Amino acid sequence: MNYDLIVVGTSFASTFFLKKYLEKSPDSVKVLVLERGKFEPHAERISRAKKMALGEVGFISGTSSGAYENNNPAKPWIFDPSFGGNSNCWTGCTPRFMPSDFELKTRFGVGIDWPISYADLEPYMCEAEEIMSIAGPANTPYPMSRPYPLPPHQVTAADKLLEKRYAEYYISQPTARASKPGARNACCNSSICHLCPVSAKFTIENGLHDVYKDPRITLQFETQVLSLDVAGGLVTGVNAEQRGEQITLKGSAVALGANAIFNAHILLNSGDDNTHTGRHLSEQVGYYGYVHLDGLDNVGGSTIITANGFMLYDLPSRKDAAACLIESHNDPYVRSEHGKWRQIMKLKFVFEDIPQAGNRVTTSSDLRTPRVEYEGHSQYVNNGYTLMKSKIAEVLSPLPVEEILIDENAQASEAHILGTTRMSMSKADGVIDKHLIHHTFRNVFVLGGGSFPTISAANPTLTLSALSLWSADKIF
Amino acid sequence: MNRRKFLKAGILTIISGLLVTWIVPSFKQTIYKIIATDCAKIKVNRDHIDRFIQEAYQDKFWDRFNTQKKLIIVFFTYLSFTKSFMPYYNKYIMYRGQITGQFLLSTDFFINRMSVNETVEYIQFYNPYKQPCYNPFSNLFYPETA
Ligand SMILES: Cc1cc2nc3c(=O)[nH]c(=O)nc-3n(C[C@H](O)[C@H](O)[C@H](O)COP(=O)(O)OP(=O)(O)OC[C@H]3O[C@@H](n4cnc5c(N)ncnc54)[C@H](O)[C@@H]3O)c2cc1C
Repeated sequence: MNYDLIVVGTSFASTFFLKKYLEKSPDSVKVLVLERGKFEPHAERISRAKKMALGEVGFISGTSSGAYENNNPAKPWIFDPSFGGNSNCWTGCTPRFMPSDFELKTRFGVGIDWPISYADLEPYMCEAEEIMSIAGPANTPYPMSRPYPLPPHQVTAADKLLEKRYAEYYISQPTARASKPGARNACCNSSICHLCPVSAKFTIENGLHDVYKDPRITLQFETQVLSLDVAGGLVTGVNAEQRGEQITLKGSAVALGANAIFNAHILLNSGDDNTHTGRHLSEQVGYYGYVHLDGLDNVGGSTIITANGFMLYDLPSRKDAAACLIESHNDPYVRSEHGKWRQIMKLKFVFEDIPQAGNRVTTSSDLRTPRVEYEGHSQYVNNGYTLMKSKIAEVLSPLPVEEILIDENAQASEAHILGTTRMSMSKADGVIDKHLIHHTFRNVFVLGGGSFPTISAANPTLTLSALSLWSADKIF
Repeated sequence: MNRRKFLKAGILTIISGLLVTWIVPSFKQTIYKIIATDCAKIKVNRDHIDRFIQEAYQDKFWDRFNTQKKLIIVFFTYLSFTKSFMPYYNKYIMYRGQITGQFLLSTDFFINRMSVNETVEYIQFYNPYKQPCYNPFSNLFYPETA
């Protein structure tokens, strides 16, 4: 059997691509979807978590340990290899990238520009927001041709003061955690989004499962794609391991949506000789900060992360210092001081990084297991952090601040895996073109956050989902 | 190493081990001290602190604090006079908030809007998987903030 399309993975990158592809394709097409994991329904995950001790439930419901070799165990790369991928365990934060994120080189002289602009992708961002029923505010620091589908979440008392001062630069966080019941339940602020107990956040299971019921699709679980079969510069199919057996499946086109570690690894296993493949592995860097408030109880927010601040984002200093996106957190944290229990605000400062060629995915002696080599983030991040520390008192001046405590250590991970198969105009500068098609293997789409040439300070999933829609729409 | 030196090193190790065990308070004692101190001005039944600590052990809550975190917590709790001059102070403040916060979330203190007049009742060890939608600082508990 020769399939018209073989899709690898069942998370955002694959499913958004598949959705658009099916909309635009005749009834006769045959699509094979290969997923390395199993399908564990949300209800089963919840009942499993309830039976476990709290300390054992851990960070995510699936596990990525053992799936790759890591030269730097202090730097974990986290993902959920099962049906729906990380949609099962993501937090659902969906601020858009800023227009400047697409042209960092032109505007600030650092990194490289994307081969597409914010305006090119904007209609697809709207479509992705519609599919995920994103809740968000009316005014945003980036232009929007359509309002957010759901009303914004309620912010906290401290957020309100910052919102008043900074208007569209301090907003209720755009999010896939529903603000009112509809397609999903409303978020009720349980603050364990990696396994939402009320299924309020968008997942592939609760939002796009129907795509997989399309009769044109054959879905096979427990099938890890290892490499592509290449003949005459085109890919003719994939080699995979299915429950311990080696198999080859034939297809006229392949869409890789296995995430930035595995997409790159599959390409490297297939003899891809592009010098960029696997390189520029990157992600944002986050630091927590706590603001002790004088006499202000910081209550009233309606979700785990209530706001995003862009006050330290597009400053002229971005030529030397990373943009910073501020998150206002609202889990049930307290201040250990009598009478001031909630006179506290928890912030996270998230910095973009300039992807470094030395941070990379490579092959190991085992065809199934990529090796990740990560030396660390760049000085650009450290400059951003130093700048933030020097400006934060002024930025937070609308608040009754008693003390600002900023963590000196970055979080080990922001759980974003980006940049190993970057987009570019030519093969000399990257791995895939602006439609996410491989520069050499012209019938292979390489989807997901690996395609980002630079990574923004904002969460990646809305943008990578929009890119999948854009790619399938432009090509089919 | 000759026999005498070997014996000396062994004895020193045993003595320092015993000193550490006797002098440095246990993590469990430290948690108790933190909660009792932070909640000194509210009407908390001391037995409830013990019960909380016990239930937290059963729910493996303390596994979230690795050895380094535990050392920071013990160190700062007992040497508080130097705290603001030391590195890791910010982290300590954060961990302390997590410990007392988890205890108070297991009681009705926040539901009663942090009232100091009412006796605080212990409900059960707070586990968000078993008690979803319970963030006592959220809009659901402060509807007037809408
Ligand atoms: C805890 C956590 C919280 C997060 N929160 C946010 C957030 O708030 N906002 C945000 O924007 N992003 C967030 N992210 C990141 C987000 O989840 C990812 O950006 C997104 O899931 C990437 O989608 P993807 O489809 O490219 O890859 P993935 O979600 O990683 O899915 C890859 C899919 O491919 C399958 N697969 C992998 N290898 C193979 C193979 N060889 N053969 C067959 N199948 C394979 C996997 O099983 C999976 O189905 C979070 C991530 C984590 C872990």
